[in-house]
Amino acid sequence: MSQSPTMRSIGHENDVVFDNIGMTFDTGAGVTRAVENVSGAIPEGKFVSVIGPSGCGKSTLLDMVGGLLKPTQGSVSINGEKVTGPRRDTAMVFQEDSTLHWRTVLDNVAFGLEVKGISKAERYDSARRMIELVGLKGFEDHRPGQLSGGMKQRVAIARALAMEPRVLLMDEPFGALDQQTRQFIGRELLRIWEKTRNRVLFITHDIQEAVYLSDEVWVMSARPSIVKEVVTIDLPRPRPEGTHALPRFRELEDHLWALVKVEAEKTLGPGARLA
Amino acid sequence: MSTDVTIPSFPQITGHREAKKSRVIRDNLWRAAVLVALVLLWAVLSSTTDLVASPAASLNALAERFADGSIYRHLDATLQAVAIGFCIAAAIGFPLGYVIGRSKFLGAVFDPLVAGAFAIPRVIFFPILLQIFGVGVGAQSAMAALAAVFPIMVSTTAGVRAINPLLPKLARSLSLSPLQTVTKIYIPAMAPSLMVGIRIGFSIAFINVIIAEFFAARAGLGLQALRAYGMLDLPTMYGIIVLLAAIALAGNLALWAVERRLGEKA
Ligand SMILES: Nc1ncnc2c1ncn2[C@@H]1O[C@H](COP(=O)(O)OP(=O)(O)O)[C@@H](O)[C@H]1O
Ligand SMILES: [Mg+2]
Repeated sequence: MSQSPTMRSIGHENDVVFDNIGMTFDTGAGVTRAVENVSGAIPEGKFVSVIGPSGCGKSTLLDMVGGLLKPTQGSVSINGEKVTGPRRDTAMVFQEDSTLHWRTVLDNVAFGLEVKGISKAERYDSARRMIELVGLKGFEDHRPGQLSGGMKQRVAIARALAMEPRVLLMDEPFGALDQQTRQFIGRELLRIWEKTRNRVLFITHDIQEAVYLSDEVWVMSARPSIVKEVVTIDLPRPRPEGTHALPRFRELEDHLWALVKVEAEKTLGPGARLA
Repeated sequence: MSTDVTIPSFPQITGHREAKKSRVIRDNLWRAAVLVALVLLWAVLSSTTDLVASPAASLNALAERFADGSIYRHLDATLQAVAIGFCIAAAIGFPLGYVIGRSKFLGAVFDPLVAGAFAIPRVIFFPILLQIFGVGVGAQSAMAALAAVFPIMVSTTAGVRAINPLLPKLARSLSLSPLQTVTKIYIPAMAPSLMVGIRIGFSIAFINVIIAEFFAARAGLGLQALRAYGMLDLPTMYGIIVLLAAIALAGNLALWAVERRLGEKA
């Protein structure tokens, strides 16, 4: 069911490969070792989720893959190329609203393609398809101010998908949504991903969500964080509505809970909640 | 930061446009009514005191100045000083406000200084400006620039700071060039506060040009108003006041309309 990440083979050419990556923040106030010695790989066509206690370095890890942060140790490579900055074949979705409030939904979704220099006809064409895919058809001319939080996140997801990224990086994209909305969008995301099958690095603090969506769940330890365990989610795909009720789903969920609880208690003391 | 409250529009609700249109008509009717009431009040005042010329006499005097062409030189001087002063203030205030807003360090250094300088009545420096530029449009322009640069800077700084911090991160993740980041993210995101800066900057530039013309000028509406007063030609003085009010109103209404349209998009 699980294996230590360092024991795994370091992956193929086409993978997203973490080679002993680490990040230390040195602010005037003190030194924070956020991520330490993380090795592993996201294989082609796999959906990987990362869970771990709040502040353990999940966002830091994601930002390093996205090229927004330069690791202080080791490196990330995608398709055999070392990540030195933001790449055109990766796209990010953030936890909070990152829509451009002065643009319509259509122009928001087309934004990534617009700055890439894609012609208007072409980018509106893909944007319209993505808008339909995320279930926002009919809202093309609305502005984010007229949409709910869940709809704004779909806009952000559609914007990322329109880039046709080979690696999709999502940092708690449903974190700000209510439980019902996040379950619904989670199902939608899975339905879309079954079609695109790009590599996904998905950060969440929701264990059920991680199990439901992923091929692998990486459990990070408390700071300085390493990937403590990689749990392979061997549930068959596609995963229909009733998947949550499968005994195997429960088993995996319980196992992850146990792992995460230990880490949360390390940072926050016994009885702490995972956040 | 005061922005005007706008009601979000939901085009899918039928009849909404019509309702909005009739509301706009109603608002405009009331605005006109208030203006008429003010003119009536003015008329009543003029009949009770010699210090106030009647609306009819004032408008007549103003019309005469236009008819004989004598007003144009002064109108020109004032508008030129406002325009030049405002452009200088904008050219300095926007970039400076932007830089102060984006840098923690510069913010820490300049915030208290700007706030302090904002409170100094800038007209106190006019004699110095006269020394530098001599009596003329140059000195009035410099006065306008000095006065208007602060509100423009302050609202730009506030605008930069109010930007959703994820947007610069988004810009980086999408590999936007520095120019694209400014034109496609910062300027549109800050548009409402930039417009507030422009509108307040324009008003302050205008006010300061008139005050400066009171001190020393070769031409200008402020100078003309003061001269008329000196010659006890009250109708002309009030006529010029009406002209000043009309210019201020027209300028502000135009900028306000732009601001509202940007607000509706937000
Ligand atoms: N830019 C930064 N400068 C200094 N410390 C940082 C910075 N970014 C993150 N950290 C610290 O690194 C740790 C990990 O942060 P983060 O990756 O955001 O955690 P998570 O996403 O798991 O909640 C935290 O202790 C945080 O305070
Ligand atoms: Mg985080």
